[in-house]
Amino acid sequence: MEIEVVLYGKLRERGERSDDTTGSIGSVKIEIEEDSCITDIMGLLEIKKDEVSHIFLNREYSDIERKVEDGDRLALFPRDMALLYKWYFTKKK
Amino acid sequence: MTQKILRVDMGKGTLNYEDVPEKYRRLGGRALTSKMISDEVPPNAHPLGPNNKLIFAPGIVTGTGSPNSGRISAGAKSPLTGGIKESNAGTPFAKTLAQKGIKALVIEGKAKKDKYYILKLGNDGEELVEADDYLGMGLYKAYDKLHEEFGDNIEITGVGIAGELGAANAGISYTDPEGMSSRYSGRGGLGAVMASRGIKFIVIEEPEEDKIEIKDKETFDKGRKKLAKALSEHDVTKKGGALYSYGTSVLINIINESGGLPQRNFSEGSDDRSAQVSGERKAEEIKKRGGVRPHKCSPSCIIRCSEIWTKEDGKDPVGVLEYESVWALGPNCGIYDLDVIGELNRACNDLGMDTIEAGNTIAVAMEGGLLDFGDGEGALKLMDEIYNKTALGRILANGAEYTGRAFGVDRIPTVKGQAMPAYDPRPIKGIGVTYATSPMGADHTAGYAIAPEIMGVGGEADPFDIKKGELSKSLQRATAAIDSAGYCLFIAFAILDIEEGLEGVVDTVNGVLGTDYSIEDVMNFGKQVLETEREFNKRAGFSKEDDRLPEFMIKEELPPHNVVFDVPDEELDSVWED
Repeated sequence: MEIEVVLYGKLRERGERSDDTTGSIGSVKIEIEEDSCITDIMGLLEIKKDEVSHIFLNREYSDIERKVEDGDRLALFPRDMALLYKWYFTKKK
Repeated sequence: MTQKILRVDMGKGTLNYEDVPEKYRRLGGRALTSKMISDEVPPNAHPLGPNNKLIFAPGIVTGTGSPNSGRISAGAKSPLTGGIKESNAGTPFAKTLAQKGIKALVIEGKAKKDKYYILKLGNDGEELVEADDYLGMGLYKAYDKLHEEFGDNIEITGVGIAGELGAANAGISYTDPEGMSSRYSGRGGLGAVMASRGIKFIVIEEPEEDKIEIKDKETFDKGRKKLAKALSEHDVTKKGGALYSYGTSVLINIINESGGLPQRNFSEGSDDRSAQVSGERKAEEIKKRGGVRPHKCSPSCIIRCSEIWTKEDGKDPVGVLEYESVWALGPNCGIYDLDVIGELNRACNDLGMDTIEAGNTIAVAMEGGLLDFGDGEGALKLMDEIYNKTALGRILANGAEYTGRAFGVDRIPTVKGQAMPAYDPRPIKGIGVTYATSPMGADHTAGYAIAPEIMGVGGEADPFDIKKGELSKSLQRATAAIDSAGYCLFIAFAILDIEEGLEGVVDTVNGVLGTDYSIEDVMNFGKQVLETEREFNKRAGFSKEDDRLPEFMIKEELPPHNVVFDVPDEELDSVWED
């Protein structure tokens, strides 16, 4: 199973920095096991929970425990792009 | 009471200071401008005619040194919407007017046709000075010239070429801390109201004596400290937070990722190229070029979301490129080049126009076949048409709806004649409720439903949930209260999460006024402001049928989520129920 992880802001250093056409975003394609959730993928990229603010899975604002599927697009925003500070809003589970 | 209302009658050429009537004493900012417009302007007045008035009012706490209190409200009947308008700005002009003891500056009547004046509010008196030398001049140059003529110890507000045209997208420009024309009461065409009175500029000298009265200093200071603490601790507003690090443009990538960043006149909600004009990219460029980031729009600001964008060589500063401006002049026109966007923004600041309306106008002109989407050079040439006051320029300066009609476009993203900001209401439905129902026309700041929907500040909300009436209602009320207090709307991020911050706001208001308002009283205050505005609009001929989004947003699915705006009309109308 392969998914695409899009890394914004300072998190882009954890992936391959994209070329100039996409500017300041990093993106990486990774192989994952079935039944993986977003936290597992963050683990593979060595990204800690408190380094991340907004999470979007397939452009839906998402809970960190959500399961991912083959071909999904996961986007992670760093803490200093946070326009939130608690994990308390409604997210797609 | 040392605070006065200054009334300038341009028909008679008179300037009079009046005592503040009892009914206005505890009002400020938006509450005061909207109440005075409602009391003094007949609802059928032509916005450019002799019976409309332009009123400037600093907020209750403006100029006191409380954090983020450098706001001013400008109010009038709007040439763009035909309804009441309050357009809010952060500028050093606000505190200077407040410290001079002017609770409201009313400009009424009309000077003789094509006669323009500078209203000088100096420390040795007030006078009207002929402004003939400034006609047809861009505002950057004009502000330099005004500083040469009147000295450096001044703040300025003014109207540009768009105002001279009487155009419905003429904004009111104010000086930033560097003295440039980059702060705006942009929305609603209030610049045309000012120009049609015959006022080109207002020049105000820093007063020698601060005339702001704080009735209960102890309560005020307690509140000021609570608010400062909340702002400096909250992740959104603190030093090193998103607004400090990237400015409002931090939202470009976030909203693009959410599928709600309108592309090419609201035809898609996302485009990978948006990243080229993101806040992160812009911050890198500013650093490389030697611009300024972060930056304060006015002296009391501790959030510092502003910046100074320059040309590639670090010269020719523009001022801030806000999220809304970057989007409107960029992705919404299919333009993904910060330098082109910067020059378009410069033209807007120089001509005296609102960037949101201007970007939508260009996009609608592109939809109408006047030029192609993505044609940055063509977009800059359209600005030249306005500089040259050509017939085409006059159409464009009147905004998106007017331009759409001129070019036979059936997808015009406006409500009550005002173009939408940078959030598509189809995937982000709460903001759609605010666009539809705000007495101001499509306005994101009127009830910032984006905050809970995408950013997760101030409670819970799901962007796709269609029950948004209650959310939009409470946010519109809170916003009206903040706009009246004289605080920057961005304090909302912190005070909706940190109760002490909210208490601080109420304490500072009570401290200035010597009142004993509760948090509930302040929210109720916001409700009254909205009711005053809605009542004016009703008398001006608006009904609930005007509280609707354009048809194409109800029929046409927006990729990538492929959703329409499906909030029922009854839900929209519920905003006005108790």
